[in-house]
Amino acid sequence: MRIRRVRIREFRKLCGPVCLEGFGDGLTVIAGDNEDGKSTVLEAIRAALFCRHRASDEFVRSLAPFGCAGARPTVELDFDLNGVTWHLRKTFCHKPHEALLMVAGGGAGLSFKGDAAEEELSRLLGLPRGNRSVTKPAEQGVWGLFWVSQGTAFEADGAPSDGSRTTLTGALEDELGRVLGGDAAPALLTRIRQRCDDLFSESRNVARGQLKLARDAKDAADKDVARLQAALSDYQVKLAELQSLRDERTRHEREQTLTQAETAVRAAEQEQRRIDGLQQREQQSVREAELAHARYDQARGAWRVRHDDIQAAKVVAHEEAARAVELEAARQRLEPAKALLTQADSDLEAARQRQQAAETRFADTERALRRARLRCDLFTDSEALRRAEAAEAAAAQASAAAAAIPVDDAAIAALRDGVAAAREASVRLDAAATQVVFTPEAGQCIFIAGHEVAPGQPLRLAAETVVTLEGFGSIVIRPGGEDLAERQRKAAAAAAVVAERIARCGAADADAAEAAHARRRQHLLESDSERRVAASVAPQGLEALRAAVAVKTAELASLPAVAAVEAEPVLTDAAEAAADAARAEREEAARGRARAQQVRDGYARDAEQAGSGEISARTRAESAEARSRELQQALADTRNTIADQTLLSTLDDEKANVIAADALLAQARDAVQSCAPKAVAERLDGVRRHLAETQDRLRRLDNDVRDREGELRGLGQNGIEDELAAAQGALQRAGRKLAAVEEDAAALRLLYDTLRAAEQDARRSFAEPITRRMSPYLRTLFPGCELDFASETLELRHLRRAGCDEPFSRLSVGTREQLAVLTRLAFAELLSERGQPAAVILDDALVYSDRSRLQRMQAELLRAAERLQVLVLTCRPDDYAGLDVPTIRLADCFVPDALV
Amino acid sequence: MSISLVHTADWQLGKAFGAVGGEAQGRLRDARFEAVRNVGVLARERRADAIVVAGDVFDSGTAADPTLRRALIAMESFAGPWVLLPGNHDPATAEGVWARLRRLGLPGNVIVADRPEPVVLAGGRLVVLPAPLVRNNETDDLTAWFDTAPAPSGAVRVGLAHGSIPSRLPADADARNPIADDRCARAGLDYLALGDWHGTLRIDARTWYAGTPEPDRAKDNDPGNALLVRFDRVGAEPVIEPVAIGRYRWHALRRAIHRSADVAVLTDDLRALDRPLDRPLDRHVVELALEGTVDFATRAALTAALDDLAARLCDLRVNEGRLAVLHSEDDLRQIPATGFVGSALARLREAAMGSDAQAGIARRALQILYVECRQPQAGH
Repeated sequence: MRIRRVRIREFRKLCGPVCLEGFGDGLTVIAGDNEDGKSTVLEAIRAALFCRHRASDEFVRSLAPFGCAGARPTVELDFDLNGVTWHLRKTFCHKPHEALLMVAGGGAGLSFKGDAAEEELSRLLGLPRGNRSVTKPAEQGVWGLFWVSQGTAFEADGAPSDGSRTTLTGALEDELGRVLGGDAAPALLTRIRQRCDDLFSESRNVARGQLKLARDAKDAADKDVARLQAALSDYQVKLAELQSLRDERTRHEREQTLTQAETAVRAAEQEQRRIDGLQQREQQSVREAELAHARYDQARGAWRVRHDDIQAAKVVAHEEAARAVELEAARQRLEPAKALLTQADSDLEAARQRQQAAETRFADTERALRRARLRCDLFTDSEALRRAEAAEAAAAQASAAAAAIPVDDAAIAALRDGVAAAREASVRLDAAATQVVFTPEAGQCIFIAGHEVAPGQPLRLAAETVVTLEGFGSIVIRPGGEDLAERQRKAAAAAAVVAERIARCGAADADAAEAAHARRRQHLLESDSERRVAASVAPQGLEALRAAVAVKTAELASLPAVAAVEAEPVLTDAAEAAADAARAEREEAARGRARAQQVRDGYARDAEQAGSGEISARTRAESAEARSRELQQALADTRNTIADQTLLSTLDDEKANVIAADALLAQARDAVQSCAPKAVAERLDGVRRHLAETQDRLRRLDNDVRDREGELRGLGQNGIEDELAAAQGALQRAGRKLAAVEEDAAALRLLYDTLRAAEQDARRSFAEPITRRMSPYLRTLFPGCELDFASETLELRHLRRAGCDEPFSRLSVGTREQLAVLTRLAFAELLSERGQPAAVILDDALVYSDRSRLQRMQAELLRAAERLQVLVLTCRPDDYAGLDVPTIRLADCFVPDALV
Repeated sequence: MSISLVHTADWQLGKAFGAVGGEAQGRLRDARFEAVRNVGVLARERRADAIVVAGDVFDSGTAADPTLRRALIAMESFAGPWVLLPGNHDPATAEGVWARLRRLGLPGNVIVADRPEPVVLAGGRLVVLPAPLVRNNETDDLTAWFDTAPAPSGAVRVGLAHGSIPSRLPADADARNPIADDRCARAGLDYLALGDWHGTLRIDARTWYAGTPEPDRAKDNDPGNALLVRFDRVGAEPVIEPVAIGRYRWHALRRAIHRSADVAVLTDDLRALDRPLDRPLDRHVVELALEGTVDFATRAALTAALDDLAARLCDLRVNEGRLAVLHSEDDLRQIPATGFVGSALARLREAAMGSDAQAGIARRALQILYVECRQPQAGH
């Protein structure tokens, strides 16, 4: 929307007509001194757009200029909107109210008057429809708030400034809030929130305030009703019980139950007594019958005893005879057995003697054998001993001979070494020696030290030698070299060594030494071999052999020779044969004895058996006889006391008695039975019990009635039913009240949630793009600072200036101003992008800003003005002089006369 | 020489009036004792020979002792005999209110007729035949013994019973404690004084229900009277004169409210209750059932009107179960729908369409919003 022309007449302080035209598309400055009426111009535009021409409320009435009674404030407004230029005219306060809206330039179809004009205007501007003037900026919705009046930024329309303004976010939110819902909306939200908090806690779990009271009241009422109902029903139950108890008591009296029970008891008792008599008589008969039975049994018993005794005596006599026969038979068996035994004994004795002789003979032959063996061994051992001793002697001899020769292995070795060394030394000497060969021509002789030397033989000369040559003279040969001297010395030394060693060997020369050594060795060998011989002959050693010989000799001496009956065999074979024969005989004898023994043992057993049989038969016979005698005697005794016949007759008498007594008893029993005693007894029991029960019941009834009456007396006067009725009424009321409060609570919850959700949606829808849009502006406001917004909540987290985190202290008024303007610019931009262009009008809106800030703001305004119309009403046009924008001077706009 | 008596019944002293709240409860309870006193005053002024009370003297068998004492005190207003018949609310049970009353000490002129035996009064000129209830509900006709009761000549015979005449009462009466509709004729009674029906009702020339002397419910069956019964001579048809006793009048009204005008009409109607009988509004008890559909503005007006009326009447109980509140466009226009408030409003409107409980809550939410926005500073 862009405003093109404004004409005002008789409007507040603008009495005379005023016409402003020449508005630009972008930024336009409207300059006027204070009190010229700049704000009035803004009011006029507002009134034209938002006030109903026929409204008569206070605000509209205030549009009339002072002191002009009957004046009709008139405003004409030309504006472009969505590509169409409209002309609007309204007249207020007094009739005739006028409203005219038409497309500029005619077109009859698009001309509206009166209320229709208002309707159309509302539609064009997107205002809420209705009859009311929308005078408050808050109600003008998006439109009104783009028009920032002087000082509006920090004027709170009545709401107090609070801590929220101290943060940038708070300030932004405040501005946004105004844009989004005006001042009233957040306050509304807060009020609704407060009402919710009054009724329930944050989590909506805990009831508070009225809700809690209503719930508690209902619960209490429930409890009361329940309690009283319980008490009442208890009372009624008790009352009913009392009634039934009383009824029962009456019944008893009426039916005379007690008396009847007593009568029945008396009758039964009488009957019982009669039966008792009969029973007594019966008892008597029982006793008498028992007595008769006892006596009869006694008589029977006595006879039985007698009878048994007779039988027993007979039996025992039989037995006595039998035993005697047995005894005789046993005797007859005994004699022959004894005879056989005697015979067997003598046979056994003979066999034993034979065996004894054989044993002796065997021992003798054994001894003879042993002696023969011993003699043989002894001979062998002696021989061995002799031989061993001889060998030992020979060995000793040889050893001594060897010892005599001093040339042991070591010595001969040394000698040999020496000889070898001497030879070597000599050889070396020779090697080093001057070799001279004499070859006389005519058989001249050569003499060395007087010795003739055979010619033609090389001579080795190691030392100075004077050689006498026949016919010549002498030659002194001095073999040269130290070496030679050394060698010579060595050879001499070696020869000396050899000589020494030979001497040590005690020999004349080496060969003699060798021979001595060889002889020595030979002796040693001999000694060895003799010793070996001795060892083979006497492996255990000589001493052992000697000992063995000694032992055997002793043993032999200890074994006496065999008796002269037989010649003692000297030879082992013969001895062995004799021993074998004796052994065989011995064994035979032993077998014979064993057999004899066996036979005898058998006869011995037989004899023993026969003997013991006879003894036992004798014993039995004797005892049988004794018993028989005894019994006979006893029987005779008892018969003396009571004869058999007497017993029998007593028995018959008693039997007769018994029969009689039994008959009497049977009679008495029948008498009793016919009266059915059990039934009578039971009946008596029954009626007695019944009587007792009846008495008991009556007693209890009386007690219960008394108790109940007492209880009810106490309960009955509490007015339970009335209280219950009152409590039920209270419960119903409490229930209704609770339902109402709960409905309110639910509605408040819903209302709060819906408002909050709507607020958040609006915030989300606008806040983020607005903040985004504003952040470059804010950076302009706070240069060199880092601003950090949280993306979700738009919370401004940090303001970092020169590396330090700064808390947001209370913003200066100037900053607030600028924020207000920037918010609206950002909003207007946003909306214009969304196809809802609006004009921004600033009425002295940056009066508190310092120059540099102002310049920056101007830059923003210019930028915004590229897309929107921005009208700046100012009393300081110089501030805007540098900008190349149309400027309208208000003072120049006063039209002297009538409007067109 | 004429015999006259006052016939009354159904005092139901001690009735709690639980459904009525607040101070009205006390006033209504007190009024019942006052009515008893006034019956006595009536008897005294008109020189009656006796007062017969046909049952339900007390509201329950567990009436508290103070209630019993107050009853006795109220009966001090007449020195002649009071014949009290146990009814179904106060039957003569084993240990009930009558036993306690006796223990408190009955004055000589108060006779509890709890046995089916004749009560001889006025020097033998008046015989009362009572049919007392010993249980809450009797299935037998307890007045049967009247037929064979002795009939001394020269005495006016008056039967005193509590129950229903099945064939005679309006259809909605309950039929416990039956009484034969020809008992009067069969027993040769001069008059049969009945209780249990709370309105004054003539059954026939000699059989009447006196009704309760102080109304206790909003049934329009002519309660609030006592009967003055005069016999000019033995055997004559009695002359019956109903006398108004009750202090309060009870009304049950039903109204439909759709527009504000209806509220005004309702207010006028209720304010006009005092005109008949020239009884001030605070002597009226009103049960009001409202139905209809109103918008917020009308609802607000209705609430204000009802609050005012409740203060004027003795008791006003309003049943708004069938009164629906539905927002109108006008109502919603009163809510400044700027910014998110507007969109919240739209959402609530959306939710308020429909007839389930949730829609009802949404409508209430709209109402709260409406009220809040009309008085922003009043808040809560």
